[in-house]
Amino acid sequence: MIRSDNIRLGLIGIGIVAIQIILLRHLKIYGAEPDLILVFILWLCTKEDRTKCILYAGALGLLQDSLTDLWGLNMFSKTLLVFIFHHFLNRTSENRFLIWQIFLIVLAAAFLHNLFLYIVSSFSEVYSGDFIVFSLLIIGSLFTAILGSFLHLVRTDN
Amino acid sequence: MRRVTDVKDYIITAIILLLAITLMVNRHDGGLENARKTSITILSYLEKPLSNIRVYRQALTTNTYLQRQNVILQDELSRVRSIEQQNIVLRDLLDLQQTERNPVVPVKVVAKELIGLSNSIILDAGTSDGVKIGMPVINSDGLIGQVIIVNENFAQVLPYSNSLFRVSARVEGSRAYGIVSWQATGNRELVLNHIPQTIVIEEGQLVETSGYSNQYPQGIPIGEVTRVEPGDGVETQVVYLRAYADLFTLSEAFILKFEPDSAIQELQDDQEELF
Repeated sequence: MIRSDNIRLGLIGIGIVAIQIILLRHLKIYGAEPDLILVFILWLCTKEDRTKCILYAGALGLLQDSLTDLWGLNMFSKTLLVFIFHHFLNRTSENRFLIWQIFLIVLAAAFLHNLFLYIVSSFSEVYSGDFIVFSLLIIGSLFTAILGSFLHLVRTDN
Repeated sequence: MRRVTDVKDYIITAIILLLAITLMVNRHDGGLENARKTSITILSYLEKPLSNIRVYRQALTTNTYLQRQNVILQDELSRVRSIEQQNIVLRDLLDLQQTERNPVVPVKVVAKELIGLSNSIILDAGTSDGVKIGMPVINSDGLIGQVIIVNENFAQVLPYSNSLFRVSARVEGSRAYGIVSWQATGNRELVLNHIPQTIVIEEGQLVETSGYSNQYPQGIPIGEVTRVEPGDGVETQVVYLRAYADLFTLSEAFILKFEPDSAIQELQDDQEELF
């Protein structure tokens, strides 16, 4: 039962990475794209224990990195975000939030994730993080928060 | 029990973060070549259906553009033909040998990332088409970039809008040579450095590859001068260019089968070994 649940989540994760790479990567506004993988990981944090979420964040981040040639950036940012954010999300998952509260939670998580991404990319000289700092931190986070809120509206609880 | 789980989480997080840092360091040092080759193959297959849509979407715009170019080129062709005749006569007189042009491989853009952290373009030609690492990529407007990774069917290009891109260039009409790079100030804005302040550079002048780097053949148009600023605390000036090739509308290109002169390469290797 546990194994089949893991396989199901793993396959959903791979599908989400595929959607992110094939579709969402091209839906850019001012150079920013929504991060569906991050929204999925945040949702996972409300359902699963921290160890599992950290492993999923690392694995999906690595998969995303390998397909976007950003080796290690998303893996680092997503794992660190889950490590910091998991307790808060898991603890508050029993509450029923209003849409603007969901928006703010996803916005804060996305901003923190993009900040980690920007910081680690700045250490390396091979990326042009400075060029997209505004779109990455502000517009990218907003875009992800809008996507997360929308998915929260249309979700089913089962 | 909770404490044990927490310790486990700390250890797992530390391992994943260390792994991520190792990947970043390897990428920075130019490693992970096989993994990157595999990833561009997978990405190319994922993006191929989408690239066809992009090609069709661009077709109308390209058509209008090509019609306009055709009129200009027809006019130019008639002038070139007369000049060529004159050139043949003059070459015969001077006993010069006609230098052979580099063959080209026509390619389609399969995937491109132009406003991200790491800008790159993937083309649908690889080693099976004779493409090698280091070959320049151009289109009818000018220089696009250089092949950096190649597998059997696909090639990844470092476009001019990447912070790692460098090309030796010269300003048309002068003997001013410098290095063109992208400073991340605008998508098509490039910077030409190392030009002495004594050289007069004017707006609108053409900047092309110099051929000095042994990486690109000479004479590939790069862009035109938009403004010139004196360098801070140095005796050189900073020349800003607007690249001729528009990467955003790019859907087809050519890979120039240019290979560095082996004699020059050996000399450079010897020099590196010596110092």
